[in-house]
Amino acid sequence: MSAFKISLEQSIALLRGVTQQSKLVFIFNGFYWSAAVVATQSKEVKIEASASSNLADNRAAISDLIKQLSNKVKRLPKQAVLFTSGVVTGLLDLPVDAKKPRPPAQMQELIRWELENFVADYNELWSLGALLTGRGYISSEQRHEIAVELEIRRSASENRGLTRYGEIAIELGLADREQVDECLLLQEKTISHDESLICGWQLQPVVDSDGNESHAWLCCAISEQKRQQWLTLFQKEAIQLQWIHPLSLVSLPIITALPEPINETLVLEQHPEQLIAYRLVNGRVANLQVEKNDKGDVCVDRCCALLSELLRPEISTLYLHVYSTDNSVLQAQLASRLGRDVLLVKGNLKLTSSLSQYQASSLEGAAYTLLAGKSSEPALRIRSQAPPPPLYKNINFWRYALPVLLILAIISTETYGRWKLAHDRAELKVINKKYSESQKLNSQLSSMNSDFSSAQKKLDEQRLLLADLNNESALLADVLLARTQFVPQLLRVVAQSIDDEVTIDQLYEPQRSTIPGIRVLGWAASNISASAFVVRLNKNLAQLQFQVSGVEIRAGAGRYQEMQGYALDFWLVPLAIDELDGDFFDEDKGSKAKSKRRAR
Amino acid sequence: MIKQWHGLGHKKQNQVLIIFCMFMVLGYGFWYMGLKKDLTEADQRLNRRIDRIEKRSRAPVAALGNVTVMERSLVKLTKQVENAQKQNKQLVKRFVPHNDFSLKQQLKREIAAQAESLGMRVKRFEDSSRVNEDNLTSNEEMYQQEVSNAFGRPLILFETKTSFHSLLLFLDSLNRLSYHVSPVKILNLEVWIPEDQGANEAMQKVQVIEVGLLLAL
Repeated sequence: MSAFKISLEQSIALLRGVTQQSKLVFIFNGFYWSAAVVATQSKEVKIEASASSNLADNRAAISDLIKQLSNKVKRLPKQAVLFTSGVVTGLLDLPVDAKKPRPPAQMQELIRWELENFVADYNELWSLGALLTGRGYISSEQRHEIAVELEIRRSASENRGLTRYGEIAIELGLADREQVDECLLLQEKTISHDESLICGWQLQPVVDSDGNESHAWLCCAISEQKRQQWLTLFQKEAIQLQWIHPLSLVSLPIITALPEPINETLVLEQHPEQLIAYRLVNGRVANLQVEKNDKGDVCVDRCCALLSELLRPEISTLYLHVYSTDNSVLQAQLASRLGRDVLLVKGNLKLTSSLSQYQASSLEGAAYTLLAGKSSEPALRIRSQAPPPPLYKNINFWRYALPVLLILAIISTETYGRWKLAHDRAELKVINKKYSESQKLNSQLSSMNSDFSSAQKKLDEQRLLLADLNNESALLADVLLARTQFVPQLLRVVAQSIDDEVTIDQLYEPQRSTIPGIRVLGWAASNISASAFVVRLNKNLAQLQFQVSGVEIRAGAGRYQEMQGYALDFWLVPLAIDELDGDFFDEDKGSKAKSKRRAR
Repeated sequence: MIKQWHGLGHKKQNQVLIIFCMFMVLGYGFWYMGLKKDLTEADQRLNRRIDRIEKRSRAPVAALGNVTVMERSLVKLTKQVENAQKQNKQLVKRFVPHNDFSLKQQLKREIAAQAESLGMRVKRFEDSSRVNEDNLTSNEEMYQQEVSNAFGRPLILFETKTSFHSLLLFLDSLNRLSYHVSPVKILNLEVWIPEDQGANEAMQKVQVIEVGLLLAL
């Protein structure tokens, strides 16, 4: 999840890098203001316009700077970042695993705890003397003179608490009331006694020349009250302040952006009332020392002492970013005393207005900080205001969102309703068309079916008629006409088949028989003659397509009961009929015997 | 306008927003009633139509045949019928018209005359179908009843005592009458034996047979 988040952030940063962005950069060192319009694109940074102001009132100074910049650029950006010495910096060794940082709230609390002393020290820097000196109303020597006089008067006076530095300055004629009041006002604005600190942090993993890995946390903090003051101040000028950076370490991005990479170096920064020295290893801050500098000018001895603590044999070059004007002397003296090359921190950006070396370098450093801010690892900074609450928790959002949602709901309902209505009507039209087509088709089908039924009926009638006619014709031709020929022929065949030993007693067609056959009863003198008669008769019947069937020959008396012989009983049936079932003959014989008895 | 809006303050802004929302809801509510009515009507009409289609538009089962082919068959069959009718007419002509009483009587007379000429002693010569004339309202009905048998012709029960030879001649002569007469059934053909006659006596006399025939006119 965290890997995904990192890659997402990198992608966003990359996307941001593609488009050119301009921002206002403001630098406030406690006494003077400088500002620039910085454009960043991909890995390039450009200062489009720069300006400076020494107005004592911060709002007036900001307004002045904006005015100056507006004259130099077509369109002034509305977003700004502020670099101020009011953000204290420290390199802390926190009990936090570098790979698993604690949640922001816990980190905040840890850092706040550590940086509280730093803030107290910072407040002490802004004495009235420092401010009078910084504003240029008195010199460093006069500042010292007033301080000595103050100390003398305090020790001589009984009520020592009532003697004030400003009063002595006025009394000595070194500063007027107005100047003292201005500096007192400035002091009030600079110093903060708010214990609520807002912190920023950046991990500094360092691998030294021996390959030992260590890490520290580069942290910064500003009081909540001061942050709110800055935010309000910029808002009044219709500028959206996004981030607040510490002014210390402003030279760091310039050094890391140098074309020739430096493995290890020392940097000395002089800001009003502060001396900052830090050791840089592979672009990471390995050590950081902050000292009070109440002498005004840079003291070579103090600088040497400060740098000597951090100096390592591997370091061959030192960099200077100093506030005082005689930096070339300092540069030469430090080089000779430390035996290293000492260079001034200077970028290669072009500035449009004439600024001091310190201001120019500071603006360059701020510009490079902005460029670093576009990468996945942003510079050390503090958000100008607490992140806004989620949108759903914002009551103002809902005040406007609800009416908008209502309008959207109305629009969607109306649109859907209209669409549904049009859709239903169109569908109804289609269905009606289909229905009428279907009805038409049904009517055609019904008509066809009717025609078909009618034709079928006629056909059936004709078939029936034909069958009747055929049956009738068959009856007339095959039965009635044929019988006229057949009956005498049959009788003749039977008669011709009889010999002297055979007599025929009876011949008849059973009225209710299902078989078209003629039963014959007769008598023969012998069994042989009987059989011979049957064979002969069968042979003769062949011409009539008849045959003898169901023959039964048994001993019996003749018709006059005088001669014993053999009674004959058989059927004459069409050839088409196979041998008849014995039961059939038996049944018929039985019925005939009964009828015979009845006849007698 | 935006400045005016911001100048109103939160409370008034909220009031304006609430009034606006209420106005929108109510206004659209009234507007939507008309749309809803149209929608409901359209929906009901659509459902009614679908329902009607489902219930009434059942396609009739298409006839499993071709009317043209059937008509062709009908023409063919009609021809066959006509031929059969012609053939049937030819055959029917050879038989006495069953609804012509006089011709039937004439034919019967011819049969009786033929039997008599052959010396046959006719014992029974009557219509086979027992027609109950009291129940009949027309001659046609009577005729129809006469032919309502398996042969479709008026039947006559003919019983006689005769010689075998005469019988054969009689049967042969049936073909030569004015109309065709068919012996459709030999009901009985039996040698007649007087009770007091012995075998020797019988040998010296002509053999007499009792014959029962069913004749179709």
